[in-house]
Amino acid sequence: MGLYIKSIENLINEFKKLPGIGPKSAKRIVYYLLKVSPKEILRFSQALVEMKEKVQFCKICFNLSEDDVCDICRDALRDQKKICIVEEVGDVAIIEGTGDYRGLYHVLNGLLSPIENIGPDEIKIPQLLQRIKNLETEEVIIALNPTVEGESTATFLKNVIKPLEIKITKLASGLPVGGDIEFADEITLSRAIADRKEM
Amino acid sequence: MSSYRAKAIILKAYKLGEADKIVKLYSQKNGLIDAVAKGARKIKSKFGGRLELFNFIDLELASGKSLDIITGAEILKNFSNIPLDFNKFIFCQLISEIVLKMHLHTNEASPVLFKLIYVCFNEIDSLPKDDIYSQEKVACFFIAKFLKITGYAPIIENCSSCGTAIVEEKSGKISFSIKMGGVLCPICSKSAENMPDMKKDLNLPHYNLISDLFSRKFKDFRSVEFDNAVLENVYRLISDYFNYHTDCHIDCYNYLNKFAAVVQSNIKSNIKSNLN
Ligand SMILES: [Zn+2]
Ligand SMILES: [Zn+2]
Repeated sequence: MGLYIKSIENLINEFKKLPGIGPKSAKRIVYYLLKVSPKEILRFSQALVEMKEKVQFCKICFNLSEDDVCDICRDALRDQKKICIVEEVGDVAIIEGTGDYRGLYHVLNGLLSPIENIGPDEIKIPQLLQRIKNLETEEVIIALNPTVEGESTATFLKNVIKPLEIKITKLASGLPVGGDIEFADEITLSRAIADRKEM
Repeated sequence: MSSYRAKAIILKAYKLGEADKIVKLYSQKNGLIDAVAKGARKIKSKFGGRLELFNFIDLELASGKSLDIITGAEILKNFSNIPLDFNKFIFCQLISEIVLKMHLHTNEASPVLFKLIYVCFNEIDSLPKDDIYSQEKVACFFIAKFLKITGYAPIIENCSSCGTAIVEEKSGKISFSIKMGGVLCPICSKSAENMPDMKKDLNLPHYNLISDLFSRKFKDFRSVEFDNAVLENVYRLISDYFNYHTDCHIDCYNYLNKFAAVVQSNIKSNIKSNLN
């Protein structure tokens, strides 16, 4: 690297580990931080430590939470009869952002993958089935990515939830809003045709 | 940076950074290719569903330092039924895992291996849903032909120890030794009695299925009638043989057994009762 100051080099190496940050950006961030006041640095480092100490997984839905049970699971006003299944914690915030869904969630934190040896137990499927039985759930909404891995996991979920005799729905797939049909690939377009709706 | 074109099948795809995707492909002419598609996970990416797992695509690539960069892709064939049957998904991942874990060094065998992968994916895709035995039959065929292409095929016509031609015994039993790499004549079989864990006695239907696996072309093998229990045993034998000789640990084998225990439990228990 050509740097002689050990502490600077250490910090650059830490930043380089972050997603989307290369050596150049890491250097730029560290040189910026050198100019920041000690008070602000302290606040920054405390925020990091606090985040790691306080944030955990909700023991019901496996969303992120500062308590044992997350705000969504504790909210009695939400529709307790619907569970939306998502792949990652980030997906909860995105669906919440639409403001159109008022049910509960279940975060898998992954997808089934034979090649990576990720099975149903690793993605909290037994806990999901237990929840469905206990809660008298009426509908499960599968909101996984429309990829082969996402669809295969959805197929597996359908197989294991079906015997419980509840409604299972899946997010529609089709053309992105604002997109141009001309640029749609054959797979997206044929899905959009298959999932067409009566007007 | 030089650019090139390739026709290839996607064996593995995973996320990189914010919106990129890394794909591992097996191509008709160049064997394994590792490539990155920038922005491929964005909803409005020009790649759309083109870079999905198991797709057969026509690619434009630019050679990069460690990974080649995908600059264009067109779909030649999409196996859309695979994700609709979880067993199909596992079998196709099993095939992918074998190809990826074997680290094939030369490109020599690549057009043959490419064709084998394509034929097996295509067959699995078009099989009826939940017909796990026909799917297993394809997987068995893949493993056998893969062993043949890579030079690991067992010796079936002659004794793998002394070389004498194998003739049908009165008992109808033929010994197969995983360790020796094939079948054994009665004399060699007797002297190998102290290693029973690696030796299995096959009856004629098992022997015939193994022989069909290694000798027939797919379109002929497809029409071979098989008994589910025989197929199950042969599948296990061929998998053990594969593990022993290639020294590859294939996660999908265990996964399949574990998974089959969950959803296919009723079918499996039928088989067990037939065997007993
Ligand atoms: Zn929760
Ligand atoms: Zn012999």
